Amino acid sequence: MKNSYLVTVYAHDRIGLLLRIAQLVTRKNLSIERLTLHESAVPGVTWINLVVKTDAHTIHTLVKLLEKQIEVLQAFHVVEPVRTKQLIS
Amino acid sequence: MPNTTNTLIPGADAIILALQAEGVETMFGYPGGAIMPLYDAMFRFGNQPRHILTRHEQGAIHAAQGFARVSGKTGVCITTSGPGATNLLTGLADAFADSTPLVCITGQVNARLIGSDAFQEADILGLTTPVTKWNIRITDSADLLEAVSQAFYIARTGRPGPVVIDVAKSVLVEKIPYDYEICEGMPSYHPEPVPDDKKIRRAADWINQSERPLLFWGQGVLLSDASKDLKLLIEKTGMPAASTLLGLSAIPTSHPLNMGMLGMHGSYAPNVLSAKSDLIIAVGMRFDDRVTSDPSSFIPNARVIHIDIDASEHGKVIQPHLAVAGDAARVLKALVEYVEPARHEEWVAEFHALREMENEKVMIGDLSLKTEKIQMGAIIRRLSERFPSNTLVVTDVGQHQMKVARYFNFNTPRQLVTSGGLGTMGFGLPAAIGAKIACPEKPVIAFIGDGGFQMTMQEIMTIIQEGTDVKVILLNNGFLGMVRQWQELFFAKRYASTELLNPDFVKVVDAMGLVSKRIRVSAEIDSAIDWLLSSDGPCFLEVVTDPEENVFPMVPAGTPVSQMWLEKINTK
Repeated sequence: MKNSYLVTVYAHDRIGLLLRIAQLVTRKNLSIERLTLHESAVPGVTWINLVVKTDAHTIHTLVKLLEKQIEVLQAFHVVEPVRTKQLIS
Repeated sequence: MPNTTNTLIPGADAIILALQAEGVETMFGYPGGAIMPLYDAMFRFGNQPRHILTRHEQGAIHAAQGFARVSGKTGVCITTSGPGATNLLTGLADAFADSTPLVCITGQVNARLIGSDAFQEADILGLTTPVTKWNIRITDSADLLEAVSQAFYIARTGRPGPVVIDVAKSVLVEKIPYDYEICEGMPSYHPEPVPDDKKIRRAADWINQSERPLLFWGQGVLLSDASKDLKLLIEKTGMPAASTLLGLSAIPTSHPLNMGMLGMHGSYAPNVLSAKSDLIIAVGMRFDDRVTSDPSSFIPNARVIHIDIDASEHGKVIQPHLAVAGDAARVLKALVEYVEPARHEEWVAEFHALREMENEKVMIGDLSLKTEKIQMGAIIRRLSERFPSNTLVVTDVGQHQMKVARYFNFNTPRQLVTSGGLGTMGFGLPAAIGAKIACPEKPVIAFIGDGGFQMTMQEIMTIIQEGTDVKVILLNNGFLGMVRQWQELFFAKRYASTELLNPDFVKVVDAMGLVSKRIRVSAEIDSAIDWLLSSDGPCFLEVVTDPEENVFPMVPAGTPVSQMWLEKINTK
């Protein structure tokens, strides 16, 4: 079953970071539905939020791949709450 | 103590000193405009590290891969910007798929020209991102040395992989203080997860309870130098084991519990009996589709324990019942302590029975020296019997690769270098050069098909220029044999673009300046091997083989591995 997942990534900022994150999403054959990116409370650490629609297995493997990247401090996902509510209503 | 000096030196000189500090003795590359200051520094530093000039950047990176695979050291490759760097892409993808530690330094145009479509400018950061463990572009000389030290650290630690440092030409000439420090850690990178002892104990319990355990091992065992631990584990528990293509040589072929190779053209017994196993212990392998075929029908009756240093491999293809994240050697050492001694004689006998069936139906014919036309397997096995037991074997990709995997008898870890995950034709010849340079004391045989040879045959000149003693065995069947085999079996013999019009290879290689010889019939095999063994330097043997020889057994794509074919089955 497909869901909208909100993926959050904290990573050291550098040129090419977004490209590396985005190509991992592309390799899973997913399109990014929403994307926000800004500096977190910790200077030099970028906070990326992205939403993708996929199944539970794919999102797990994607997040593990994100976590594996050298600059990434933490990556996790939740079923995107707002989107789910909108879909139900 | 950091190497600190108040003297300012050009970035290029700092890179050479940094390479020396990292213990790099050999690197492979090809010069060009943007990287010239680094080549100049090399020259001024007396070619330390030694630079091997290949004939194409692809040759340089495959040579660096061969170097890394047999030595366990990080391979270093240097090219210029634009086409020099784009020519690395195949090698990077290959090294990424096969977890090979590489540091590639690519020149880039001057920092102020980046993004202006300058001469020989290409977006190497963008192009290499999907095929590197890490990459970085250096436009500020202050960032240079930290990037080099991090690159070496990242390439060799955890699950190894290729790293690219794209250095603007201006950085190579700007003067910086040399304050190089070997990287020993990075805040966001934890290469070696600490294995959970409770999980290892549970794995041991499962092994102790299992009636039909089967161990699969992959290259992770070689990368973590865990061959001895693996051997101790299977000997203590009496469980049969089988290797992936890249795991071959971790345990000698002759070991009684080594049941051969998994996968599409692997051994019959482990493929078929994997479906009967009640417990699979997978160590340092990633369940490639060439091993699993259809994952939904793979190992249907087994609990699965997956041990891998890369946690992202757990559950990627096969959902394990128990996943242990950690270095293979460390986990296996603990497992050996926790498991109880056992024997599984009946279970092992089932493997031997199927091996005998494979022997009768496939191997006797494949290894026959009595046929007039030369069988690939026969000359491979004969070379294996007659060359020293420490001989390094490098292959290209295709039928001959599978025959080498099946019929060469491996004795020592890291004895085989082959392109597994990416399956790169043209890999063999340059990789063999790298392997020989890394281990000059060991004989090196390169097995290459006529298709793959023509992709990188210019590297014969590198062999001659460097005096690299590689024995090149060209197995020439006049076809792109593996594709032809599939056309024969699944496309009603419609041989679309697989028949090759070949040059006279002996004349070509001879004209380049390498001693060469051709054989056509089985009766000539032994005298040709005498010639190879008695030749002091590099030499080239063309072996004309049966053009329509096939590789069996095989698992047709998408078929359960337990339904592996031992021989040709009529298909439409």
